[in-house]
Amino acid sequence: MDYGEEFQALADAAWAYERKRDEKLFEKISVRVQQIIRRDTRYNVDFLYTAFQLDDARIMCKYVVWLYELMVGVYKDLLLPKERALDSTLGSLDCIRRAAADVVAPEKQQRIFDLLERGEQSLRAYVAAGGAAAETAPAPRDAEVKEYLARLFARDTRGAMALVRSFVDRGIPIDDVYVDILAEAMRRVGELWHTAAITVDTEHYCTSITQTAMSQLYPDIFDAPRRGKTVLVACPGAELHEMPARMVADLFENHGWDSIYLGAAVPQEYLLASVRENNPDLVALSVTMPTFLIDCEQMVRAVKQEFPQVKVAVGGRAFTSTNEIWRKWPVDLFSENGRDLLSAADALVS
Amino acid sequence: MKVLVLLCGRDWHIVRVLRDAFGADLRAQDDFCEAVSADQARELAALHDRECGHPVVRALNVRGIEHDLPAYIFPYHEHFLVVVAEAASLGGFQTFSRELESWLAWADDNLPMPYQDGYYRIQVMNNRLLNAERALSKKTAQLERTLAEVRDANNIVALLERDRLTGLYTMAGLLHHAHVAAATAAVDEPFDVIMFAVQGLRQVKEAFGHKTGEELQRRVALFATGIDMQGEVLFARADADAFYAVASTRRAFAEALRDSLATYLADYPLAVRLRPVVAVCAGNAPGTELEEACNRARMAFDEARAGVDSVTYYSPDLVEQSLRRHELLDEVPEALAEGQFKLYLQSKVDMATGQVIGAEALIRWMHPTLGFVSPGDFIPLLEREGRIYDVDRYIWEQACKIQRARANAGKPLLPISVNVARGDFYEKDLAESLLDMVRRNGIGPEAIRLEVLERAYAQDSGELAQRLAQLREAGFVIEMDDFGTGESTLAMLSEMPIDVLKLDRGFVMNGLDDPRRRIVIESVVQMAHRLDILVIVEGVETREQERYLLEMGCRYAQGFLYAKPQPADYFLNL
Repeated sequence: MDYGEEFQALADAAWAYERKRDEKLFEKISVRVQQIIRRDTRYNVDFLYTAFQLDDARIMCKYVVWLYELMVGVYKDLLLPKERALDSTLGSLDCIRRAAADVVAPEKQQRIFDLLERGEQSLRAYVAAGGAAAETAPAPRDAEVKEYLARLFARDTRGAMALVRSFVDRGIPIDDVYVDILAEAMRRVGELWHTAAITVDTEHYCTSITQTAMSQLYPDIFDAPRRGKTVLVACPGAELHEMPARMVADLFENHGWDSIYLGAAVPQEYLLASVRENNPDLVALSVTMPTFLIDCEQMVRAVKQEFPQVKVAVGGRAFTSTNEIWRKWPVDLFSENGRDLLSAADALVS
Repeated sequence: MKVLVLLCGRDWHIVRVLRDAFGADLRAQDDFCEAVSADQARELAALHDRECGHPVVRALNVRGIEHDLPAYIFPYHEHFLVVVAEAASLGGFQTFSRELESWLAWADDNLPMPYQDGYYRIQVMNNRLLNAERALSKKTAQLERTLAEVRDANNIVALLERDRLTGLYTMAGLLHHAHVAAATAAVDEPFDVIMFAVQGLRQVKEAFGHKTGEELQRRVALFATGIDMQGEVLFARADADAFYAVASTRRAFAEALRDSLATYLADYPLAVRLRPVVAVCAGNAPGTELEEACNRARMAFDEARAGVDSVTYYSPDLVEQSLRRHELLDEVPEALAEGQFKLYLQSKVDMATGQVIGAEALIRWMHPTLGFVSPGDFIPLLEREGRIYDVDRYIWEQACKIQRARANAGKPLLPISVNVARGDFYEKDLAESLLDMVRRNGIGPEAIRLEVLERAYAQDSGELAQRLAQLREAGFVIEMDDFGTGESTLAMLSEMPIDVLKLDRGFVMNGLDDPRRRIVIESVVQMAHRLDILVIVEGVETREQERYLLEMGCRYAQGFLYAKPQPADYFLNL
């Protein structure tokens, strides 16, 4: 993430404080592990910067809790107590706080301190409440999700592919297969990685197989009668999580829209050129990582400025980390999932 | 890079230590971690060694490990297999991991590395593939939709299969629908392919314009389809002038068509004689290629145009004949160049005195291999093909040369009559060419008389009258040949520029003892004389015929009684 000299200096200074936290340990650990810690420090500053830029403290609060849960998994692997994870997370926040006092312009300092404070409070409240948030309502197709995940974790590639096909064959609408089964399964896979229950390669394996499984439904999806509407779908910034965006494009295709799918990490100029060329009815931007929300906002404004008549929708997991930040943007639609977005878009674009 | 770890003992946490030590380069997977004894580890290492054929790249002596056992590292596909024996203390493994790290650094430089920055790159590639597949699927769906639209556009295709003028099928349409009919209606009975046209269409177009000709075609098409009440016959416009009909043999459609069409055309409101020309390739077995049957019908049709009035049936003989004639036609230019065509002359006489008054020029083809070829075998064909002009000109030239020879020898003028085919009148330079010929040979136009068939007068008579008047003006005498075989009216005699009437041999051959026929001949002769037209009777073979004719007021005749056609030489001595 590129955020100019000031926050770059903040990241460097925070990293210096990180090393000072336990100098003896830093001597012992390998260069590689040192690099990993440095990367993670920068990542913390990324989120702080995003929350700062978008003026949305919830982004920081959510992130701090998320970071803590990640550390819990790491410390569990190391057979170390949970408390160490809390210390580590709060220690990292403190490193940033001290660095900010050193390098950030005074007029910005207070807001940064506030954001860090809000993050710390959220974490303490979370830990005090006993960790994981209350269980949400059971997934509408919990049994299918579990069946699918079981095959993925058994590395039964063919079985997983065939199962997705069989969902459609046994009459589950493609929309529901996408949203209630595959998207939900991927959400759980992410959660399992986050809590160190599965490794990152398993997570990527699950993603790849799920995308391939979706592709076998294309003949059905593209077969739908056309309705003369066009949606353009893209991921802003450096967003590489493109499966949700593709799901959205597919769901629209399945309902007779034509989709122009630009994929992951689409530069703004490229997006605008494509809108110019294809004249879509709707531009849908999908964001998974909150750090790309800034890019998303810029894109929304750029599209609306040049093409006021084109409807713009945003969505994706990143927005759950915000206080409905999309309301501050000139968007026409926001939706939690592709299915809801589709019905809203159908109503909006007649 | 992936490291496969086989653990000895129960020190699970080594996996995490190794992972932290090597970060993304080391992916110790839970499902690859197995706790085995030191002996099992050695066995497994040996097994991999044997089965994979990979040698031990390097054996690491891991200090600080209990029992000081070595760790083996094998290249194993894109992974590395690390066998660590009997792990115990974290400290020992940190030492070990530094050794391993230095080894991996060595491997970075010396071994091919399948993955560098790991799964993200693979994921990006995978996404690209999926996006390509997605785009391809979308294009495929679009293509299928387009194809479906094309299939749905039956009306448009039907239009393409229909002839614009008549609304009948085009050839392509006929073939398509015949196939469809054969495939769907299970028509397993013999079928006829009929080709038909209107003789006289060309004259209609010339005399009344192209639009009138098209109107005639349209009406004929409408009439023909109307004959087929059951809708069982497929009709198509075969080419500019002709039609095809495909019908079950049991319907005997060809005859029905010919009869109805003849009646229809007879009453057609145009002053041109119109006749149906109908040919058929009959009784084709089910499964016969329609195109083949159409070709055969066309061969029969070509023969039908040669002048047969009833329905002409295709037969293999017909093909052979047709082929022979067409081959002959192709030899005509060569035959002209080589002088294979010979001029024969048949005298015309004054019956009262027996004196020769002139002669008719006839053609003979002395073919180098076939010998004598009858004029009937090639003249009608040449006329139909529009290639008669060269042959006629050849004959005219020969006749002029004879007249020049006679003139040079100081002989009296005895005119030679030459045939001028109907087609010759379409040649722009006809008059000029004839005049040029007589001039070049130093003779007058009165030395050559022009015979035109009575049938020719019936077709496009206005134009013909004009051309004849022009020739007559130039000094040529015009004779109407074969009078009485065609449909010319007596009124025509008064309107056309005619000097001589040649009464067809049919009058004489059918018996002059019939009083009624004699009355007819007498009337014609009297009328001709009153119109100042000379009459010559053809085909006189007996003295009795001669006597009757003289009694009826005829004076001039031509026939075997006086002379057969002879080589031209004799004429020089008359």
